[in-house]
Amino acid sequence: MVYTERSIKGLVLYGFAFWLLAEWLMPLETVSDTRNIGIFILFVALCFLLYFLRVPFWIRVLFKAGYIVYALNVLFFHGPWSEAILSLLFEMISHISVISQFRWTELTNPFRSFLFFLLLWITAYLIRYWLFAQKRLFLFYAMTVTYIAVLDTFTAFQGNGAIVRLVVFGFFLLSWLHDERLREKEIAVNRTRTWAAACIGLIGLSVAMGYMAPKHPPKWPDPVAFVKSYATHHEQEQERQKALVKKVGYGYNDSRLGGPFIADDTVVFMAEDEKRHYWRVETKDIYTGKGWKETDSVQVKTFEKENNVHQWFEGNAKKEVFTAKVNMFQGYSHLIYPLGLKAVNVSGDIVFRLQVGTERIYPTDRSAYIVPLRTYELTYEYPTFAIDKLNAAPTVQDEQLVKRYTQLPANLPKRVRELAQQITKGKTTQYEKTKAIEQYFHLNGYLYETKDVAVPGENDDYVDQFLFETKKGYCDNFSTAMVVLLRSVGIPARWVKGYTSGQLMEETKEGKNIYQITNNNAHSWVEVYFAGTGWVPFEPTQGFSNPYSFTEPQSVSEPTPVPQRTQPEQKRTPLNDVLKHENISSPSVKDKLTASFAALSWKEIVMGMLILLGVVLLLYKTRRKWWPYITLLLFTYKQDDQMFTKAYLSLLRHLDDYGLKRKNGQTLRQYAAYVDDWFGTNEMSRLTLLYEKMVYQKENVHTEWTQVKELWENLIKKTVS
Amino acid sequence: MERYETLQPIIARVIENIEKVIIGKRDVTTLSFVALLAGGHVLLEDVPGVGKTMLVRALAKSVNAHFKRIQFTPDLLPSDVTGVSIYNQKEMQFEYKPGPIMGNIILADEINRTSPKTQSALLEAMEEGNITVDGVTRPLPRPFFVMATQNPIEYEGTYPLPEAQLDRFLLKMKIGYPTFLEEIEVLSRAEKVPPIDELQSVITVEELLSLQQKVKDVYVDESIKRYIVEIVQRSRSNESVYLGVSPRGSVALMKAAQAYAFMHGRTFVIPDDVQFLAPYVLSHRIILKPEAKFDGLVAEDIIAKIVARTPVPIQR
Repeated sequence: MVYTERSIKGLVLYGFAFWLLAEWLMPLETVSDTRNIGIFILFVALCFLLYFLRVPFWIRVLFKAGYIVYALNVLFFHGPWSEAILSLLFEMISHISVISQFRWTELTNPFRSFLFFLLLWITAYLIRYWLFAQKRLFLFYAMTVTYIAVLDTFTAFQGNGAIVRLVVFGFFLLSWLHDERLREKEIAVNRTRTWAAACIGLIGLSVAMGYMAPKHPPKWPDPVAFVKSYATHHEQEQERQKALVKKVGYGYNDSRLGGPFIADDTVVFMAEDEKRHYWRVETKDIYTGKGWKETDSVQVKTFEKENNVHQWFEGNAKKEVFTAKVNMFQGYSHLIYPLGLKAVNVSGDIVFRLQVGTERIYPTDRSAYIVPLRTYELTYEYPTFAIDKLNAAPTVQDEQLVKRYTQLPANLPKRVRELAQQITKGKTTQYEKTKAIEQYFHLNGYLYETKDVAVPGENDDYVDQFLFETKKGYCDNFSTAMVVLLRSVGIPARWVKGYTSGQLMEETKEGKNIYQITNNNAHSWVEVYFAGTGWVPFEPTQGFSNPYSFTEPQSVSEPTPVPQRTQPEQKRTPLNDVLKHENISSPSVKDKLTASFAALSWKEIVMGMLILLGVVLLLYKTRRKWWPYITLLLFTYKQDDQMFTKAYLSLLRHLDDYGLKRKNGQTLRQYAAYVDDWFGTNEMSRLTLLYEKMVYQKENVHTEWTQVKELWENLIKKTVS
Repeated sequence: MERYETLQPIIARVIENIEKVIIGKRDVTTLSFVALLAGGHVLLEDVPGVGKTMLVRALAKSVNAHFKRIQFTPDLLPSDVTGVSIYNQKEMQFEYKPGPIMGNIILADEINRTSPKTQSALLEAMEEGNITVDGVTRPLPRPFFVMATQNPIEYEGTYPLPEAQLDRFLLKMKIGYPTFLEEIEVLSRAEKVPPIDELQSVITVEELLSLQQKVKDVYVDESIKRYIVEIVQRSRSNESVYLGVSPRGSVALMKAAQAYAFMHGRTFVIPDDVQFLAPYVLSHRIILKPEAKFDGLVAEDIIAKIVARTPVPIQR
């Protein structure tokens, strides 16, 4: 080794390493939704500092782990330390199912940050390996340049400064490492000054020339458009070739609907509620012919607790106020809420941000960071719609609203519009027309189907294909078709996503019901705008029923609720299972942990066991990397009369495991000589002589542990491989 | 082992002194001294002319002891060993004429060429430490150390020592031929004055006796005792062995180990001592089965195998 890690040179090299990795982190603030990049940069600095100081492995791990927990706590959990660790644990466990099912979009921010910390950790380790073991960094350097170049070209990030820094420092670093490699092979003679002068001179010259040279605009005006169009084309090709199998559950992207999905009974949340209703997440308004896109509007309204910013209904809707408690099992960044949300009661300083365009609500803290909620209490107005009022509703006058919610793609096949006309023939009011279209699917033999569901080809329209060709599908097919049909006859309608009211688990003594909502309950339905009433939900999907009540004119004074059709496969759960969830209003973190374990399916448990087995196997295979350190740690804090004996016997075990086997008839001296030959030292023999005195001598010679400790530690460290 | 341990200074001086005469053969020299310190006797089994006499004389000279040599022949009588009482006419009474056994260091050359009657006279003296001539018991001088030699059994005209007699020797060893270079060195030294004549004594007999006392104080841990007994007991149950090592063998091994540990400046015995000495102390104390002999096994191999398999104690 020409240079060691713990020297001035080593420090400078670590400085370079830190700078290189920091170059990767700095653009993130501009190009992604990552915030507080300083915390990550500090982590990288900490990693390299610990490497430089050559602290023992376990101290490094302790420090870094501590920093990660601390940072996550500052960023997300805002609790005491113990809570933070438990919360992180909880995050990990709740992500087992998310990861095992590849639902990448559902990762929560704390978990993402946690993974990012791990990635930085690994990268820091790698860079250290490249710098000090291999003395090669070209690959990483080239990757850095590419990264900066790509970001500069395709994003808002301005890489001017970064590129100059990369040229100056990077070339210097590369040539330095090259010089070190040559020296290691003893090819280069020691002419550091000549080398440094040449290197710095060349770099200075090239930078100066680059600075002074005239800079032409790019010859290729916009590579981005070209690459994008090519990529999109390619993507479409690929998608057409294979029918995508999705998993049912909640996702934001609905731009390409269709294809089969498989059931997934992962629990999303439990709710203690008084009424059955849809659980909303968001609405979408732009139909593309393949799926749904959300409106571009970025208008956000914020409220705390009391919703005083968004009006759900207009005057004609009759409303009753109810409350519900929600206990989330999956970390989502959005709020799941019923129509008519009036207030959200949640512990902590939470601001709710409602995207007006989509009616998606994000719980955030004061500085606009998303805080996924675990438990919250809702107050909502449960509407009852009077049919005569709906029938009497005038044609919608708000032109902007009509334009937005009757949008249809230009290439919508004509027969869809014709069918809509045909269905609504003879119906006079908007309500009658809507009901006719809602009933159309029930009356014309459309089937509910999850497996054999087509994906529209490049020239197919999603709704057209469902209406005329396949005639089977699931909620997305029915609801989208209904919206398109409604819009075809000029009725403003939108597509709503969320969950059905779920499965009734138990009735509490206070007369409330406990519902369990799993991924299988993810649903989409239709809302139609009625002037004077507002948005009214409709349910076109076969086998599902609208949970809201529509009252006949004569019974306006006393509404008779529409009988609730229960789901066919509903089953009773043993009381014990329910009791576990009974205190859903304020479960402690521990309870949440147990609950999230209970929510794992057997597949996940098998998967978890396999992972555990893998981890154990891996730990066993790599034991020579960590076991010696554990032993060192154990003996550092042990106080015992028999310390030396125990330590020596433990050393024998380590050496045996390392591969230096002591034969039964081999004396300690012979073995020590063998060990020393192997390691090229005399430490084992020295230690053994002291040990012999302990064991075979008459008086129990009390050899001071501190005297032999260093010898022993050196030997234990030698067994690390 | 020499890598880590230096000899007791006084012992080192003696060994160096002997090595002025005996070239190479550090083990033989060391072992002889072990026997001397432990108060035992040595049986050398070797062909003539490899330096047996030289070794014993050098040893005797180094410790300034009285050296005697008995050449055993088939017609040697017990009285030729022990001495006889002769009537002194002037004094008018029987007078004891001491035999060659009245010395500190005795070389009993070719002990297997004499009759069992004469052999037993010597061996009894070795065991008892005194002799009885004409009804008078006379003590032998201290220290009393016998180094007996015998020709390998196959030679003609020998009376092999019975097993019971062999047991009386602490160690049995071979000197063996010198290596090529050592033999050249032997020639070079033989050109000059016989070096044995120039040898000075290094310690006195009194010093030697006090060393013998100190050897007895060398500590043998319980675990080492167990180890010795384990080895000995395994020799008794070995399938190739007809008669195993006697308890006297265990004692001998322990005493030799004490002497060996003392020589290396230790006050306690370690398993290495036992391992080193076991072949020399034990192999003449076992009788192999005929089929083992037929298979070409020798006692040394059996002992080495037993030692290699017996677990070494590594903790108290």
